[in-house]
Amino acid sequence: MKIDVKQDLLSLNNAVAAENRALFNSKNLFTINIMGSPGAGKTTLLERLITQICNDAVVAVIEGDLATARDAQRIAACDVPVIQINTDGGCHLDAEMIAKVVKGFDLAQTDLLLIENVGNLVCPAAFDLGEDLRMLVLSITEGEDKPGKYPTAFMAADVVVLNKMDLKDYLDTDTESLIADILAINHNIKIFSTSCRVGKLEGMEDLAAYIVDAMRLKKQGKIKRG
Amino acid sequence: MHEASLMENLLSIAQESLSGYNVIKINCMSVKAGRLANILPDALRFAFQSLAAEPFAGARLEIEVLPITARCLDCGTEYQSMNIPLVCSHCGSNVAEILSGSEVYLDSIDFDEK
Repeated sequence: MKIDVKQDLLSLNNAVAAENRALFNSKNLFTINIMGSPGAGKTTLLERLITQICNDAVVAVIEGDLATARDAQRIAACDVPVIQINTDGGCHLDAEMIAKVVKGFDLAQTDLLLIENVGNLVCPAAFDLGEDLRMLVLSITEGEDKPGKYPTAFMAADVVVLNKMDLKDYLDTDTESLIADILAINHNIKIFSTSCRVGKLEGMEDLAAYIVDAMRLKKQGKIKRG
Repeated sequence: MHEASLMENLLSIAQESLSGYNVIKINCMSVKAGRLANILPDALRFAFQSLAAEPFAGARLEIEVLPITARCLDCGTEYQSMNIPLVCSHCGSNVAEILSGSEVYLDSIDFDEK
């Protein structure tokens, strides 16, 4: 005999993500899921963002990596609470991992939770964590063909940060066609250009202002996701 | 490469769905995956072979990849596509609202009962 099941394989993750989202909403907490390839500059971007934002928001950070606590140590040096998740080979963070660790933060006293996903341009996009905003970091050293080759990550993102712009003059990457390709995949996506290199910082004020605005809109009850 | 975690979920959903039946053999499980779900059918089959225990081991795994369905925000046409960027079949615009394509679900199970 044959039975119809029609049950989503991500239903368990999606249910936990909905619980996370409800918890974050109840604490008026704005959350960002930061995705991108290994080496795109996600952690360095976080370090710069925290410096830029810490006067406007109380920040907490979750770091996701296969192994080591190196990123968490870097973030802890910025003087914000941080929890490292090691996935032991897992290619993405899931909602359950987030649910387990958020209890370690004083959420009522936190305005902004930054979640750095495992470096991977494919899998993290499929797993909702309960975030308000999905931010994709793409360094221009990765080449202008990446949106076309990894389109689902760009479709799933709200914001894309084109990082390492300080290297633009040394590379053949055509940033104009890169931006056109990203917009062809996702016309709603908001694009920022940054350099996180000390002495060549670029674009950090604009990105920080966008995040602080989005955070305030949520606190005023004007945006809601999920 | 998140097919292994999806397969674990599939097997637990299948187990739950069959709990009221006296199963002697599972013939086929049918999975449907939207184009945006980034599922590699071969990787999902490999995960099935690695993880499936009795009574699932040996069953056939049917995987159908479903197209993205979208509504053009310029001309309103609803269309299907396997390709990204989306291109409206009527007016050629890239600007669209995605209606489906991210889903991955266990559609049905075919089995023999005692």
